[in-house]
Amino acid sequence: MSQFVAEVSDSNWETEVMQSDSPVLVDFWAAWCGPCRMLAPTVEQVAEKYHGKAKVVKLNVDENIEISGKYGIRGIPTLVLFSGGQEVDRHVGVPSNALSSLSQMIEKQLA
Amino acid sequence: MATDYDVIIIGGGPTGLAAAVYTGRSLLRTLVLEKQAVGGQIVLSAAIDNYPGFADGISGYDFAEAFLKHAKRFGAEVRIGVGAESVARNDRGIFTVGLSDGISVTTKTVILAMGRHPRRLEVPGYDKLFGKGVSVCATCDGAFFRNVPVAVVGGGNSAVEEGHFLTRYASEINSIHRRNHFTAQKILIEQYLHDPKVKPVWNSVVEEIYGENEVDGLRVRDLKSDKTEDIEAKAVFVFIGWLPNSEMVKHLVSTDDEGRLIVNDLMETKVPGLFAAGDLCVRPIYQLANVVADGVQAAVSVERYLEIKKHHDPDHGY
Repeated sequence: MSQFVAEVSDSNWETEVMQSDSPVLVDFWAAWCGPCRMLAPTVEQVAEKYHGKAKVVKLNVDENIEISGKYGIRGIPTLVLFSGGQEVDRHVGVPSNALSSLSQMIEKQLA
Repeated sequence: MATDYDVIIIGGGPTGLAAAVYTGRSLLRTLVLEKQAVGGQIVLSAAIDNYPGFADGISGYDFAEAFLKHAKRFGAEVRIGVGAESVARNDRGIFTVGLSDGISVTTKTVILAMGRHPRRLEVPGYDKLFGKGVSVCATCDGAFFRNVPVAVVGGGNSAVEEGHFLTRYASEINSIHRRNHFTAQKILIEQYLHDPKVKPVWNSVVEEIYGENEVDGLRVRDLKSDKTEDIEAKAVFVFIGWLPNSEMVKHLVSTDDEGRLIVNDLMETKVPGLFAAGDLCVRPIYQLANVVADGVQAAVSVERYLEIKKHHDPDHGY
């Protein structure tokens, strides 16, 4: 189980993501998506790196269709960064140089 | 001089990981760099049915996991999410590899196994709607399009295999191909065309993918009649071939017109100590089994290269 990446859902989305004081990177994924599962260790590393500064969470699109639908998720993995309850950045697919590109996404919000 | 590694393998797909199993077993200090996800393109595959020995098939994810585990078992260090940004060789034959996290590492040999990426469709709407219905991965995105019409573009193994996978979800699959027949393996074509949901659109090319925030459809042109037709689709899955990930090393090695690396039977490039293998290279076929074999050959060639260097040049830290 992941130590730094919490699982969020339709029901706690508001408190965990929208009302978060720090930026939140959300990894939209599903068990049947091979690339999503392969990306998970990198997402975990990013979460550990920014622990205490930014939140990194994942949302299972199969089990949480309300939020997935609301944000128009039509392909996974999709990584969306929220800050102050607003979407500020999005990447569809596994990013190239995933560790540094996800880090940069968060750094921009922390700057 | 002493180097950080004996071999750096750039690319953690089946080719790179197969190489790592062999270099690890040869007790070479091995680093594998995978800039995206371990397994590379193979993790996009829902079921691999043509890798000999797996009679019931295996998912791309499980296959890649097994390769990763195997490479690690023999000591390879695998860095995931970290790519190589540059490869340079000095006059003493030592390579310096610049990593995407800003550091540089040195090595005696390099195996290039960066593979290839899907060719994009150069039409209006492709970029705008990518991830909003436009996709290059049926196993990732197919489930978002249940009981709606979709389109598949292409006619090779990937198009036909992934198109067949989409019959699980979509109400109808308009399969658009510029020729009047598919070029995939016969068994795949048979399964695909046998499905009542599949509607081939022969001799046709895509002119535009349209929709505002999601795909609504696409305009195709019949190459024979030159007439255009609008096809309703909530998703467009594009499988029209591959391009080699060779930009980083083009200045070092020989390539063909498409940018694929030219190697000999030993997976040697024209640069001593620099090897290349798998999808990145000019190969007679691009199947999992032979790109795995390429990785094995590259690893054995690395080992031999290092033995010869050590014999002729014992002072070079070899």
